Amino acid sequence: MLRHLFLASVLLGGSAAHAEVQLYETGPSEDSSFLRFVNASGQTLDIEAGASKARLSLTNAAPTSGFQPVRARSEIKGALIQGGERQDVALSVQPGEFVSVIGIQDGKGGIAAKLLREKPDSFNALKASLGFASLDSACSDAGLKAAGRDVMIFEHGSESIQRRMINPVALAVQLVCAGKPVGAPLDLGSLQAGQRYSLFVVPAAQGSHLMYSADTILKN
Amino acid sequence: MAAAASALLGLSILVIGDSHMATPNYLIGSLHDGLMEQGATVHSIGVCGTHSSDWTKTVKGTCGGAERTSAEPAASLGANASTQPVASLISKDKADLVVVIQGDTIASYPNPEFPKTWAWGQVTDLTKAIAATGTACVWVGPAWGTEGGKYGKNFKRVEELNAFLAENVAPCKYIDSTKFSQPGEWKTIDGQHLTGTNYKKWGAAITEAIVAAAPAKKN
Repeated sequence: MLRHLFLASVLLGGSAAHAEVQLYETGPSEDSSFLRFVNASGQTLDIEAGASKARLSLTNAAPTSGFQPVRARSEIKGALIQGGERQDVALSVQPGEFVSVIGIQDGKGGIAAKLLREKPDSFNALKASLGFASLDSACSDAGLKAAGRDVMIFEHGSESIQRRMINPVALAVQLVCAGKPVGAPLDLGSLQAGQRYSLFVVPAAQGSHLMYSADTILKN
Repeated sequence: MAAAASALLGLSILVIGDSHMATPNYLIGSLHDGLMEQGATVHSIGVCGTHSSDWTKTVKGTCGGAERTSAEPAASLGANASTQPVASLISKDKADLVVVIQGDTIASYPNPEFPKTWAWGQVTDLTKAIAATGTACVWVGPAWGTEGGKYGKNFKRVEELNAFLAENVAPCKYIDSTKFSQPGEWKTIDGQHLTGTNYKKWGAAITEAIVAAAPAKKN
């Protein structure tokens, strides 16, 4: 369903058109770009496409869409909708970028949209790639450590995503705010080599909360 | 040398690739011959202008192709040459080993910035399709070639691409073709495609590297 979102403004990525037949094509004129939506609000969130008005529902059970290929530098419009609340979004994605639009509680009973932009420096099929960002100002100096061990994986979390390659092993993590553990450890299961994952610190009624997703890429 | 000549005895090897495999005196000649001389049964298909993920589906190439089975000469596939899904080819051939000749078509040589994210998608599409069949694979990256020419080949991007492929083709083993010669040593006809003599050298070097990797028969 997401594939039909933003039909008018989002065209699938691919090789550039050429004025004449290009023999032995050597790749596209610009890099692939991807966009996804994440519902960190705690309640079902609808995403509405700007042009087509097509909708996608992100529930608590399935709060994250896959990354959809989009045309770089084109204007993308849409809205996050929850009950009577509506938060319009407009953005463009740069070549090589992965952009996550994250709907969170705004603390006043409404929805706020946060944009996380990431342009990976490297990919590695032998490692798992783990990303971390904090979208909750109530969690000061957010960090992530390996559960049950005094090993920090990420420190000083902010609204810019940090990413690192780690060995593809079974892993449980513990959110840390201001140097103290918050909430229960989160079991990430067995990380797969070559797979990318994201962890977000988001505000929740019970306090700061960790959201976890595999960064799935949707195919054209 | 009798032992070395039987290093690949009994293996069924499928070789797929781009333009480097699409003309009789390119790798579809020298590499195919080299693998056969080591005792393998070889099936090679090259479709010119194809990207890596094209081998997970049927995609028409942009500039012809060729196919070769065992000791038969390479046959032209004509202007309609198309890729075939690698899983189907592996199944039909009962392949023990897949050799992928890919790199130049995803290098984006004229682009000042290597489209890493796009290339990652291209490569992982194909490696995942091969891995899902449980078949061993070897990925052969591009040789130095010569700088310039109509495709804008340049040593810096060749180096960058080989480093990228080395980290991203797992579970396939990687063969870095730049280890076989010095930059510009193997002459080309257009910057990218080697002369016949140098395709012989490249094919022989790849064969030797595959023998060293000691692939085993599937079952």
